[in-house]
Amino acid sequence: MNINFILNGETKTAQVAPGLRLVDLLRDEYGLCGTKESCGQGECGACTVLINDRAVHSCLTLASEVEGCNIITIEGLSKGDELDPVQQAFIDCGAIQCGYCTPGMILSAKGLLLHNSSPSDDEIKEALEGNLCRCTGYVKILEAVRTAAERMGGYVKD
Amino acid sequence: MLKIKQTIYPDSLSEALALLHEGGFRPYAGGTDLIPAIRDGRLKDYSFLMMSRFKEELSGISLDADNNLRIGAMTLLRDITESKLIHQYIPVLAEACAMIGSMQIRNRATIGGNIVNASPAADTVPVLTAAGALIEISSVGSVHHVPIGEFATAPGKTILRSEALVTAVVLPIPEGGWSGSYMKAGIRNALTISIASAALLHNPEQGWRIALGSVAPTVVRAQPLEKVFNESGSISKSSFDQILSTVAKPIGDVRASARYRLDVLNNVLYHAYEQRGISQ
Repeated sequence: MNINFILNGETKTAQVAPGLRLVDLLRDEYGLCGTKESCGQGECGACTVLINDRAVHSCLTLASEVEGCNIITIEGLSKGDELDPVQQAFIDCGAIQCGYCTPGMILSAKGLLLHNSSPSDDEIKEALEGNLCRCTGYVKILEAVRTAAERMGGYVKD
Repeated sequence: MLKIKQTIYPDSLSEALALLHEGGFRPYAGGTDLIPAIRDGRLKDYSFLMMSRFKEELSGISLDADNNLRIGAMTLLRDITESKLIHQYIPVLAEACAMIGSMQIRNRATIGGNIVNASPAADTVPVLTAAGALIEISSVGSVHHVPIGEFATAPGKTILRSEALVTAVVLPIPEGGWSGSYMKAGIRNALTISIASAALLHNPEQGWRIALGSVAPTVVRAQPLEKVFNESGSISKSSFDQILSTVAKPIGDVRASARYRLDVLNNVLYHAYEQRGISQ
């Protein structure tokens, strides 16, 4: 079937098979490989993208479901050479090792901060509980999200 | 790419019910349980009736004049965790929904899907069972309500017929609302299927209500335990354990042994029992 949607700010039209997942559409059709498939069953979060500013597992979303939606992938966060504050915070805090979990982590954090500019530590952890990292031990990732919140004009609640 | 033959997108509930009446389709709500099942080959239906185009008709939370809380079946778990009405009348349901999956899953998954999937570990079901919820079932020309305790019959099996849809959950709210807590024990804090769970609800007039998950083929009300909680005085832990064993009959599987599941429930529930006078 035919779907119309917005991808990283651009209007798109695509012909999609019933069983095509959003992760397949993004990677194979549009070459946006920042979104990764790791577990394929909604357990690791490497496939996380934003649909209408909400973080979802793109491996659990059929492409046909995004008709009329606004999709943001990691590629869509930066504006030209200018990185999103969340991306910059991850770099500045040393929150990246192999980088495989990073796009998903950043988008989950972005989804949180778009709705809650001053999250508590618990709220940050809850927002990231669907994203696994095998390298960092999470400490610097949480620090990066706190830093991003503060730089974006919010603060971290006690 | 998933092995799906056809997806059909009706624009309204009535159109959807007419299509289900003709047959050949399985309803698809958020898809967060269905896609893993399709991928694993556990699900053999390959034609799906997609509910997203008419989800507004089946979403939302409202309180009617008779103090019944109505939750549309397509209401997202995330919206339940953030709902002012839920926090006012039955906050433990928000608590339970917040323990399901991850933020990403709660942004797509629906309360209807959690109920219809009928896992004995479904986290919304113990709270809804303890609260005496009714499941609203719609088909062409018919709407009727079934007590949630009669809805699931075995793991993954319900009384829902192929031509029908669950359209809402209806919760009678007693004066003063329901306070309580939901306990979920699992291998980790998030993205985990419970090995034992317990919803404890309390209302000044209705007293204690208790429902248990993951320790029987379906979620079960624990009336013998409710009786103990509602009585004054105190029974020993071993007596308590014996009563619990008449209700909780878990199996051992890859996630946990039967003995461990019972031990977890015994410990948590007995502690709640001892604290019950204080926590009201």
